[in-house]
Amino acid sequence: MGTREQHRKKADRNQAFIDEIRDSKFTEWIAIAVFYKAVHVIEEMLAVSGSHATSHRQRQAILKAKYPEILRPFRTLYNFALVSRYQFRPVKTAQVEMLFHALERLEQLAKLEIEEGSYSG
Amino acid sequence: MGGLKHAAGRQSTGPVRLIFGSAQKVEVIAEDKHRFYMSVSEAAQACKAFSNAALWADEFKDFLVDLHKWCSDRPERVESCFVTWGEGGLTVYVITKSEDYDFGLDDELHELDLHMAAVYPDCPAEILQIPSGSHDELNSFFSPERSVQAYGDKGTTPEES
Repeated sequence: MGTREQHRKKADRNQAFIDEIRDSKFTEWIAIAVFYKAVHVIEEMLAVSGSHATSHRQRQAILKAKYPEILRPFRTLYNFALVSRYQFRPVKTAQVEMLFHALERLEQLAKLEIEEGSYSG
Repeated sequence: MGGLKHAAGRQSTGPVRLIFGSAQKVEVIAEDKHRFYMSVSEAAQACKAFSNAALWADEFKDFLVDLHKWCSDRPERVESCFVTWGEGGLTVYVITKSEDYDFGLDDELHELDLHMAAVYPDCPAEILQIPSGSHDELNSFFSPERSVQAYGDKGTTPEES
């Protein structure tokens, strides 16, 4: 179980990787990196409340029960990353843009939760 | 209507096939009955419904009917739907008509997910969309032999296409 700071560092590192490859042809890897950044953004948020998920399913269950609006963009990132790993069609640039939008939304919502959690804590 | 059609006497090696009636009921085609109840037993264990599998089976059937209705209401976007089970619960695969990821469907899937979680708390499920693809592509996401088909005529083996 990582600390809030450890998850933030991993999220930032994933973002640095995304920045490295965002103009490359390896769009499926952008989708995967975006998803894993989202995982650490979520884990950072959960760490603030002393919570932690040990599997993708458990993480989604926590989001569904406590943070359904954050699950909304997370669902897209999770589902798309899964599809991009197994399907043979290339990931399109326009699809990558949709993922960036979902990640941005997720980060906004998680940041709000962290700020509220930090304030109330 | 989105009910399934079945070839009588077909050897059942793909997903368990169901018949959705008009009175919010679901039946299992005769040759799949044994496999269905085996599947329910496995799925109940996956959902940690150890205490009363018979009661859980009733909830699972209602879950399938609800899922079927949701898909039937979106025939222009949903091609088929399969339910599998594994560690931690059920997984619902909604196969879309589109060959591209249907970003516009995610919000509706989200609402479906919240609805199913609220109404069927003993059937924990994650709900995923899979773009329409070849049988090999679909089979890379889940095993048809360990699934129940909740909607659609298109099977997951080449001879069923």
